[in-house]
Amino acid sequence: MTTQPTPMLQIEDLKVHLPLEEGVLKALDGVTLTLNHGQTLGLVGESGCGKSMTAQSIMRIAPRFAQMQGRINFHRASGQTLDLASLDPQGDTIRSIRGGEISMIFQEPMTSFSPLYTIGNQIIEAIRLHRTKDPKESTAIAEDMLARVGIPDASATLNKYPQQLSGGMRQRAMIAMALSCRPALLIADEPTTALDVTVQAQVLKLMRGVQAEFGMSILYITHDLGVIARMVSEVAVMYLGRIVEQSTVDDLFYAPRHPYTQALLKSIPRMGKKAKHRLESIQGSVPVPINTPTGCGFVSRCPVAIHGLCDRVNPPLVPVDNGHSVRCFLYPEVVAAAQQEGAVQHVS
Amino acid sequence: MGKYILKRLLYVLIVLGLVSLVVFYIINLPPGSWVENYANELEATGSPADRSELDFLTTRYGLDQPLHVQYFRWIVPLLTSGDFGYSFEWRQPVWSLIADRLLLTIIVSLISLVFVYAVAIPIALYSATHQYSAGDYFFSFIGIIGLATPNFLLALLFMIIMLRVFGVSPGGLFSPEYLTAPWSPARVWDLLIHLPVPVIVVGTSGTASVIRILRSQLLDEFQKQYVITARAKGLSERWLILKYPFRMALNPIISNIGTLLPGIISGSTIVAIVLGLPMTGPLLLRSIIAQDTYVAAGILMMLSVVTVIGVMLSDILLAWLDPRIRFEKSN
Repeated sequence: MTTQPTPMLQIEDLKVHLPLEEGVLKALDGVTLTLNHGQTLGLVGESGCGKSMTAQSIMRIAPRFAQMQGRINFHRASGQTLDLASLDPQGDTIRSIRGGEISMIFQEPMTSFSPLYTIGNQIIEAIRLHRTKDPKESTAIAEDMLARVGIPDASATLNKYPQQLSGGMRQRAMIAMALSCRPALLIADEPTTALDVTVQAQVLKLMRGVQAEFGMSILYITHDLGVIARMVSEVAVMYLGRIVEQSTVDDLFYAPRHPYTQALLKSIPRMGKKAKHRLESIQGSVPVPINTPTGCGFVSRCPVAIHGLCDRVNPPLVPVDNGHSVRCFLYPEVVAAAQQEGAVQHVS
Repeated sequence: MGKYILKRLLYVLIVLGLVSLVVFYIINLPPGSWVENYANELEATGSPADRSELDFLTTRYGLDQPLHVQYFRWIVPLLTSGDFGYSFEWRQPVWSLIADRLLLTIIVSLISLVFVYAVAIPIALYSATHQYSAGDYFFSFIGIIGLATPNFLLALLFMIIMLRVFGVSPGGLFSPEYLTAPWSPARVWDLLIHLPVPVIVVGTSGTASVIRILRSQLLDEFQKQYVITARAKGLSERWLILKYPFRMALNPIISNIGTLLPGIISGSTIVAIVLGLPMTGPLLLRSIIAQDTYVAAGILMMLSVVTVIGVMLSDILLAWLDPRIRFEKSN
């Protein structure tokens, strides 16, 4: 932490709209996010808030009919900066980055590999695309990676089919595949959600281990705040296609600013709390972001919404404290920023 | 795998044994026999029947015996010496009567099968990768018309086109001069230029259904996580689709051979009648009407053999292609 952090990925005002029959679904509605070299950034939020869409947009593997606006600036190791959002999603440039410089681990270890090919075939395929065409060398790399992620008898596993491995082993193989091309950025989209708790703990430990070893940046997507506390240094909270709060992990847990984050933290089950108490939950459910009105996305569920303001104007994401940004009109800095932009009239 | 194939072969033998029973029973369901009908017919016209010949046939095939005795008198020589029996109507051994037609039926059916896949697979791939595009709608439209048009109508249409546009004699699998000629390169060529019409007519509905099955299979597979994982590796889209979702979507298509083949063989009967093709269909129909028992039984048995072996081959192919089935079978 002695050197000045340098950004690796800068997402600016990213909008992804899906034109559906019912209307336009605003999956991402202006996401702004910065990920530094070597950093682990957590992205939390409920199902459907746009976490996975953010990941898919970076990889450019979002559905083909999705309309994309904004910038995703990726600073490559070569020093070149590339706007991933402007690339042809099937072009050579993004394909050389995808799986190579940026790779991804998915939520479903059970279905992430094709059952028709061996694990080795599917891992070596990625290595041949990005690292070496040499068959012997690529096999050796795959075997080495499988051994590093803690798969016993790695060379035998290469010749096994996915259905011969347990869920935990498959997720390890998935991690091995994602790391096999030494990515600068690893996107982990709920990698432990489908695993049982003991396996989850092993995989989390493994991921921390490989990060220490390889030193890549990680974008860790989850809805599990417990995992966030163990895995990341910085957190961004997403709601309805927007980042509503971003801070260090300690700040977020001890001094949450946004009403949504506060509600989210209250609804975590805690040990020692009396069983008599009902678990708190957030009122209502996440609205479907089709034809959303202007204003803050959380207004319909917010206990402290300011009538006449929150339902009219979408608050900007503004730093309110050292390294702590929030998108909520409860904070004077946010109101001031909105006034400066001219979005809000001066009120007493 | 060897054990699996042996097991399948055993099933084939059992199925064929049962088929032979059912076939023989059903053919003999109508009252009377060919010999009786023939004798009655001759008596009605006033000319005396050759009693000695009729008696010979009756005793040779045990037509006066109960059905199970007749069955064994048919099946035993068939199994021991490949003797399919005797056609009452044509006055010649059944095998010499059906051999050529059977060969042509198998040729037309197999070429139709190849035609079905050769046309359907590229169209389905295009339609699935260009879902809701103008081309997709166009092929869906053509496909539905192909499914809905009766084969005989298509056959008539093609006969007109072939005659008017290409000047090829419509109908049949050979030009008149080659009809009874021995096999020669010229005869094979004559067969080849006559094949497109029956193949297209017989294959159209199969093509349409394979396009629909494969297209929806592919669209289903495109959504699967393993496809997204593969895309996230940086594979090219074309290679990705062929290696992952297409390979997966082929499974139901391959197992579909088993249902497509009998469909083509039986579907070709009407077409063969309309186009006047020297295939087994028309002969089968006539032999059933005339109660020419051994011709009907022989054709049905041979078609069953072809179908059952076709299904077995498609199953073995499937097991060979899909590791999941392989493991299931070996366990």
